[in-house]
Parts: sequence; structure tokens; C-alpha cells
Amino acid sequence: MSTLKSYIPFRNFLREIYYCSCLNFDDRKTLLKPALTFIAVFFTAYFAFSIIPKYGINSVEFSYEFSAGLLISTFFVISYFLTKKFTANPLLFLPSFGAFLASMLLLSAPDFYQKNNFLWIHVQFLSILIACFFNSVRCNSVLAVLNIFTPLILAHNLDHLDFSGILEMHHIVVFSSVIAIVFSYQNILNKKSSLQSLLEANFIKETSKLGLWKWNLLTNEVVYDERWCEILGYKQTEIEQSFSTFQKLCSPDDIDRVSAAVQELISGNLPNYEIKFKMKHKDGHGVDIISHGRIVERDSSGNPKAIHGTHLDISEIVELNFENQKLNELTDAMQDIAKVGAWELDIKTMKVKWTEEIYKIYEIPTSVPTDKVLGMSYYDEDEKPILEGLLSDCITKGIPFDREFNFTSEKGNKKIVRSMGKPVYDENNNCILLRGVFQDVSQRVKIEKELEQERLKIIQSSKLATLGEMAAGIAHEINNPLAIIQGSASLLTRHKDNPTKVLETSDKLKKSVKRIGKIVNGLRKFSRNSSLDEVLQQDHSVTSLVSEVLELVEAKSKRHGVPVEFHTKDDLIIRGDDIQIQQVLVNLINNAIDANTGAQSPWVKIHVKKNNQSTQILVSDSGHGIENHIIEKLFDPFYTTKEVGKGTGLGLSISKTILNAHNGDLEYKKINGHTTFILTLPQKDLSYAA
Amino acid sequence: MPLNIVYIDDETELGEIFQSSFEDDETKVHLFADPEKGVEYTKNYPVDFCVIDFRMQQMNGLECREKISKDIPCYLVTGELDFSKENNFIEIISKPIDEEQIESIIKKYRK
Repeated sequence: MSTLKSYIPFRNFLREIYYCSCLNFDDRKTLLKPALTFIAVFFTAYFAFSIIPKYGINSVEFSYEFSAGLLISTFFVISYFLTKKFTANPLLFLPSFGAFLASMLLLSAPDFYQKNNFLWIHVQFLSILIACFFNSVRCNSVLAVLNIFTPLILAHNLDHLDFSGILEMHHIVVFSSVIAIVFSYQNILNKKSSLQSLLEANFIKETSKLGLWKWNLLTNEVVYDERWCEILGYKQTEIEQSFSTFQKLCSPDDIDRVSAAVQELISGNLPNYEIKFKMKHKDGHGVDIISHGRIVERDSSGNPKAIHGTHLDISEIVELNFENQKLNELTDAMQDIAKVGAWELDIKTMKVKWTEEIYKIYEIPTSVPTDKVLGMSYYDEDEKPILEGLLSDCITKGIPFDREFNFTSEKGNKKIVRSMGKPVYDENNNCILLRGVFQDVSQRVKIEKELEQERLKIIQSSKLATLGEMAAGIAHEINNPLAIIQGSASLLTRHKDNPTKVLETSDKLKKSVKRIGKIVNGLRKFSRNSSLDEVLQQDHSVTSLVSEVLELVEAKSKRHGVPVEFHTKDDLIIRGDDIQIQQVLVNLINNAIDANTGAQSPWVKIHVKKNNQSTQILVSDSGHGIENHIIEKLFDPFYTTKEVGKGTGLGLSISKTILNAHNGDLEYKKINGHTTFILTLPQKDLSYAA
Repeated sequence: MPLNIVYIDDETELGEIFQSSFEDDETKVHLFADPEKGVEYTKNYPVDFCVIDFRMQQMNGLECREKISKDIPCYLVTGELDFSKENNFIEIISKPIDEEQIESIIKKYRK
């Protein structure tokens, strides 16, 4: 990085010099013609009045000096024509280089040098003089090297030259060359201020990508700069610098409008113009242009002579605008479809902006200004403080909100609306706006309610199905104590005279009745309607909860010969609806019994585990896990592996729903190689326990 | 020689009731809560008939029957609703037990 930084000032210096010579190029170029004229006149006069009368046309003097003059003029002419076509600094170096060549010619020719041994240094001066006008610092430096060293090299190599004589005169050349360099550098310093503005202009031109055009109204010649051509995909040399080029490339739909605007400008009705139009790119596609122009030059009678202006490619902006417009249409359609409106609240002025959809939800005509609407009055009385609280929290604490409210529209229609909002901050992190959306969700809420009811029905019916499956076993379970009661009753009559027997038998009677009562109670409790909407948040002992379940499944366990064991170390407390949790357990145990019936020494084990803030009830069985393709669909509703009529396929999906409603979960895992279902339930709140 | 009845049921109370209802001088009821022991008994002692409960912890009544000699008539006691006939049993006795049904069976073997 540091090397790069130290390089920057040096680079800037080079760039300044470069721009100076480049930017001055046009000015210096215009000097070529008068300079050439002056030199031509000077030489004509010099030859006509001095050389020809003195030496004659056939003399050595004339032939060499004429050749030198011709050389200089030729280089001027070449430079003049080349700079018309090309923009390059070295082209302006040519006249001074011509003079240098001429001087060397005069020095190196022995026959001329014998007659005139000082003219060469005059011509060398001339070359330096020309250089002062035309050359950049770089070119001047090159010329200085040529001017200083070439005579010395020639003197060393040519016999007719006296090296020490040349060297004696030479200090003048060195001195003047240095002056020329300083002079050209001085030029830069003098133009520093204008350079600055030129640099700025250049910067603006470069960064804004402005194309420039200069229109000479008298000749109809138009100078289009590089960038102007680039916008349309051309190189500067490919374009004819005339007004017809513009006419050709401007879109036919726009040309009349542009012409009219130009006419307005020329007639003086407008100080300047700004106009947008399309032009044709070299590839054939259209380019959107914004053009500015103004009159920059008038003749003595005030008629415009030249208009200068700019072109800016605004295709991207136009495209973006078009996209934006489409996007806006889309947004409108979206608002209409989703019944979502957007709002914005200015916190300083407390003014609210609404989109059309909000008016529709309020059922207020859009013509009513929002400050005439008492937004709060449409909400239910008891929910107003809630909304106010959310708004103030949003403003002061920056908490976004999202809540559903009961709402009565202007026309008295009851609705449920969802209001969401979040703060918008300025650069100083002050909350300046609240923005949000407002949605009529009545339809959705209604459907959700229906769905919820549907779901509850399913839970209920699946529970009844479970009961049905258990009915056979339960019948047996009740029949046993019934048999005891019956037998005891007949025993009572038989042993009516034996008080010990009677007491013993009546004890059996009581026990059996109690047993039946317990089973019936469990069934009644189990079949009770319960709702997922409001999960009963009661604390229950896991041990007693599981024990009750064991009584319910005991019959099935016995019938299928799959013993169910319950292991627990200490009694844990869980929060929730005992019946719903029992329903899940009954389901899981029933499944486990079904899956293991007929297996070699089958078992079902229930463990209870404490896990952070939750209690886990693990129901594992002697099975060796569930097949992978079944696991994926395990909790899907209506998925069952049981025979038709044996299962609803709802058990596990409903069990999971129930546990989720308890903020818990139901998972399947293979633990120690055995199929295990893990019920996770929130533990009793510890703060209550303390 | 009294009538020897083997009653196999893991529910001991039911067995006790059965025993006190039907045991007398001419009828002996042998109670077994563990079916294996009941089966063992039938192999070593004379038995007129067996009454076997269907649902038991250790094995069910059908399995228990398999282990008892075909020559010994067996009766199945069950509370299940869907049992009507079982090949290996003479009769199905449904719970709650009908006393008269048992008495008529006992009578049959006394002849």
C-alpha cells in the first residue's frame, strides 16, 4: 500500500503534464499556420533581398540555405496537415525538428561551412524558438538533447569541423535549450489555474460520461467528441463531423421535435434547451439521450454563430423508470390480491400516509385525507391500548410489531386485520418514521378456525378409534371383577351363617367394584372432549399419569402377551393437559404392543428422564427400530403400516400435534438398538417450585 | 373317588370363588395361578377336567391347552366377546361365570 501511495503524487505530476500538453494541443495547433506564413514571408524576403542579390541563384550559399528553408517549411506543412487529422503531441515537435535538421545540414556540409560557419547556430536558435511555442516539456527535452549532442558528435567525426571551436559556441545552445525547457514548463505553471478547471471539466466529462458537441452554424460543421461517438458505438474517425450525421442518427420520430427545439433556441425564445430523444446505436438498438445546448457565440449583429452542447446516455435510467413503473403496477396488483396496504407515519408531524388498499379495508373513500380519519376508533375498545403500546414501543424502543386485531370498518363490517410496523431511522439514528403494512386477514382467520375445529374433530375421532381398539380388552378387564362379584354374591348366600367368610367375601366385593370403577373412570376421562386451543396448564405427577395409562393398556398388554414395564427413579412434574398426554402414551404403547405381538419375549418399557428444562418420557419396545423409508413418513397424517381397518394412520401425527401444542415434541430414535419414542414436555416452572 | 377339577387362572381371587362355590366332599378343585404348574399336575395326577382362563400373564389359555393331554377334557373361561368356539375345548365358559353351567358340567362327569 505505501509504495502505491508514494507513487500517486508522481503519477499525478505526470498526468498534469500530459493533460497540459494535450489540452494545449488545439491552441498550439492553431499557431502552426501563422508561424508557417511568417517563416515563408521571412525566407522569401531573405532570399529575394539578401542572398540572391549577394551570391546569385547558382551559388553554394543559395542552394544550401534554400534547402534549409525548404526543409523547415516542409516540416511545418507536414505538421499542419497531420495535426488536422491526428491529435498527438509529437506532431507539433516536427517544425522544431525540421529546423534542427536544417541546422545540422548547414553544419555538416563542408563547402557551405567554409563560406558560412555561423548560420547553423542561427538556425539552431530558430529551432529552439519554434520549440518554445509548440513543444511540450518532453519534446523540448528531446530537442535539447539533439541540439546539444549532435553538433559535438558531428564535430568529432567530420574533418572540416573544429571541435574546440564548436564547443566554444556550444554553451549558448545549452543555455538557450534550458531556457526553452523552463519556458515550456513555465507555460504549465501559468496555466495552472486554468489547468485545474480543465482537469475538473475533464473529470466531470469522464465521470458523467457526457458527450460534447460544438456546432458551427455558419459552416454547419459539428465537432463531436470521442465520448459523443462512443455513446452511439462509433469511433470518432468513423463519423463525419457535420450536422447531417446527427440527422442521420437521430430517431425519425424525434427529429422534428429536436429541430423545433433548436429553432426555438436560435430564434432566441429560449436561453438554452434540454430535450430527450432516441438515437440509433451502431448495433441498431435505440439509445436514450438527454441533450443540453446553448448559444456560445454570436456575430456583431447578435445572430448566433455557434451552439455547444452535451449528450448524456440515459438509457439505463429510462429502462429503470420503465422497470419501476412496471414494479409499481405489480405492487398495486399485489396489494389488491393480498389485501395488503402500506402505511407510513411521520413521527414529527404525526401525519399518516396510506396506500389505496388501506382505504379499502377501512371502507373509506380515498378522497378523505388521512388526518381526517381517526384510525384508532375502528379498533375494539379493549385492543386500543395494546396497539398504542405497540406503536410507542416501536417509536421509543425500536421494537417492530406484528399483531392481529379485531376491527370494525366504516360501514360496520367486522374484520380481523393484521398490522405490522417497524421504525425507520435517519443518519443520526433518530427514529423518524414508522412504516408498516395493514392486511385484512378475516378470510384466513376464518379458514384457520374451521381447520382447527376440523383438526379437533379428528383428534376426538382418533381417540374414539383407540377406545374401540381397546374395547375388547377392557371388556375382559371388567368381566374379571364382575365374575368375582357374581361369585362372591352366591358365596354370601351360602355362607350367611359364617361371619368371617361373610366379611372376607364382602371385602372381595368392595375391591372388585373399586376395580371396575377405576377402569370406567379412566375411560370416561380419556374420552372427554379436549381442545388444543387451550392446553390445560396443570401440573401432573408423571408417575401417577403413567400409572393410569398402564391401567388402560393393561388389558391389551395381557391379551397380546406383551408386558409393559414402568421404570422411574423419582417423581417428576410436568405441565399440561393430562388427558391429552395420556392419549399420546396410550397410542404409543398400543402401537408398541401391536408391533411386538408374537415376537420372541416381547416387552415395552417406559422410562422417565429429566433433561434441562424438560421432562422426557421414553417409550421403547423390544423391536429393533423402524425401517428408514417408514421413518420419513412416520408422523404424516393417514400414514399407517397396519392392515386396513386396524389403524387410522392418525395416531402419531395427532400425538405430535398434541405435544407441539404443549410446547413439547415427539421424536423417534433408535436407542440401544430398540425402537424408542421420546415425548418431551415442559417441566413444571421452577419459580413455582421454589 | 371324588371328582378332580384343575382350575388354572392367574387371577387367584376368581379361583378362590370357584373353589368355594363348587368344592364339596365329592368334588375337589385344584387351583393353579401358574399354568405351568397346572400342566405339570395334570401329568402326574388323575384329572377329570380342566378349566383354563384365556388371558394369563405367562401364556394364554390356548397355549396352555396344547400342553395338556388330549385325553383330558378342557373348558375355556374368557371375558372376550369374540370367542364362540374353540376346537380344543369342550365348551367356552364366558365370564361372568354362570353357576348353573358349571354345575351341569360337574353333573356330567359325576355320572
